Amino acid sequence: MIDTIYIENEIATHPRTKKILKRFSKATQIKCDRYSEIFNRKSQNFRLQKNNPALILAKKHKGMVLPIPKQFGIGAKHNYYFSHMLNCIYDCRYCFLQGMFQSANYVLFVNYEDFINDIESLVKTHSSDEVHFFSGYDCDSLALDPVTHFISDFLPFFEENENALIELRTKSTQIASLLKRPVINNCVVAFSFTPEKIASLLEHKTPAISKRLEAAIKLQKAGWNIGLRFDPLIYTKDFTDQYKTLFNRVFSEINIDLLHSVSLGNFRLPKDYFRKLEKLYPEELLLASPLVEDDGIISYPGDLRDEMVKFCENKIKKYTPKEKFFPCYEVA
Amino acid sequence: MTVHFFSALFCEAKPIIKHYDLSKLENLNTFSIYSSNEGDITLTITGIGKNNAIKAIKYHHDSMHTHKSDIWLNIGIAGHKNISVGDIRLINKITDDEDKKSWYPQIIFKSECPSIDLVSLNAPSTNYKACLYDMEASGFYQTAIQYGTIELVQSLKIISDNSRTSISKINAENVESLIKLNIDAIEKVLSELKILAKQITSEEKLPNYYELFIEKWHFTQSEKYRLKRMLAKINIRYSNENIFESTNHLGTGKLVLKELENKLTNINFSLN
Ligand code: SF4
Repeated sequence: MIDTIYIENEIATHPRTKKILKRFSKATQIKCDRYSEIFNRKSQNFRLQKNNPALILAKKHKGMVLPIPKQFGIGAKHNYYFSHMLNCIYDCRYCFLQGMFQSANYVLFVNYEDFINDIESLVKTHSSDEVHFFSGYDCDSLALDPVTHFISDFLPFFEENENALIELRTKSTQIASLLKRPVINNCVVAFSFTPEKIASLLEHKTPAISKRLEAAIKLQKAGWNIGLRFDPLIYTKDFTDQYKTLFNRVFSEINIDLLHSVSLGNFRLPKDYFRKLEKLYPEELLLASPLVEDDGIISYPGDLRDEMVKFCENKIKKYTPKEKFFPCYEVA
Repeated sequence: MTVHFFSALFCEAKPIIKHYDLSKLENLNTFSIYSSNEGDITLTITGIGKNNAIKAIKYHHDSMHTHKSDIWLNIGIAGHKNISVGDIRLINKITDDEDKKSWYPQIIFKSECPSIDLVSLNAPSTNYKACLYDMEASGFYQTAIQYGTIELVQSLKIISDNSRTSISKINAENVESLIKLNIDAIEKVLSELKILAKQITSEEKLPNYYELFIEKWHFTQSEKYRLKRMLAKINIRYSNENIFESTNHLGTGKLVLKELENKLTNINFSLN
């Protein structure tokens, strides 16, 4: 699965590096000074690299934990995100990572300790409030867990710091490490869903909706908090039928009473990212959807957006109490 | 898509010239450039050393008008401590011995050809180590990636000398036969790169009907850019429609752009 591993000299002897190298003992190992020598160079092609991404083991020096953009929270006053990894093994055609990075190589920052130190100081700063930390912005939180051991290394911190909550955003079914350990209440495993037909057209290499749902149910039965993320909403002519089928299916199979949160978000991409996608995938029908530009953001036209959101909100609200629903957009 | 070969010496290039039946382009004299009849394979002899490689690649790019979907291959000989003479290697890291700068060719295709790191020296050396030595790869790579797509720029080196087989035994004749022996391996790498290159749509490629629109209506430079983008999408979304015919009645370029925009924001759109 991984043919080539680049290793920053600075973390070459880090125990996590050694463990990963042992796992991929057949991969070609190449030493480098900084991951930026390989990652995101001008003239790299994200689409080509996606054919066979390399793994880059690196150290993150600064900007480890950052505030999240407005409107993306799930109820707390203080919200941050962190990325122990850049890029994803899946290949969703709407993914903003394709626009943000020139390179599809996976960067794994192995100095988890430094991330945890920064998280800890933020928890102390907001000691009287709940603080939420989101882990799946620049990668899928669980997809590479058997390699990264993210769960077993990060969750113990949250176990001891109950005013901090971690959201693991995923489309993956890699839940073994969660099932193996004791449940903690301040962790939400948030599964992203799109209707099955749309997922099969756009979410390449991801587990099928049925498998994701199965994983969510298994975790929920084991006592884990589950979140449902219908984000991004994707338009197609029969979107009402497709989303209705999805909601019926998900909400009939999951235990609604035990759900932690449900969120809904629009398809939106910064214009520069969108232009890059057009160049990478000129044949992609999604990019020829009815889309408009507003203030540097490409999204569906306002009327269509409102119609989609309203339809989905109404459906979701039938199943979910108001306090568990978090729209990721301006609410009129 | 064009394949551009680069070799320092004629003896390194000769088997490639023969294999692809390339002819010298007599009008280009600063460096010797060869090309196939169809122009889909070219080769430049760079001369020895980094600086020559840099100049030759720039000259090649200016003369041959290269594209982002082109393949750039540096073929040459190199020394190593103990790899057998005649073995071939892809290069996964190139370090310039002079300024210690490194580059990392992205080998994203499956290849039977193993990869290794290489140091580009200013002069030949017999101080063999566990990496390859040559004199051109750093010049080739740092220049070629300015014009090409990183994943399509590769260096392939054939071992010519090691601690058992002295550098003094290298002559034009055996260099030629070493390269000739590896033509199949070079071809295999090339066919993998061609598969990748096909995934890059050349920016030069114009969408269907574009030229008809440009001929019929006046568009400013930025309008032409918009037209190109919108037509590309219209061609995907309304693949059965002759968009030129359906807009033919419109009086100005601005009205045409408006019409295309309306077609693209129309919500009668299905992903399946
Ligand atoms: S799963 Fe998320 S991070 Fe991964 S490709 Fe899809 S959208 Fe991007």
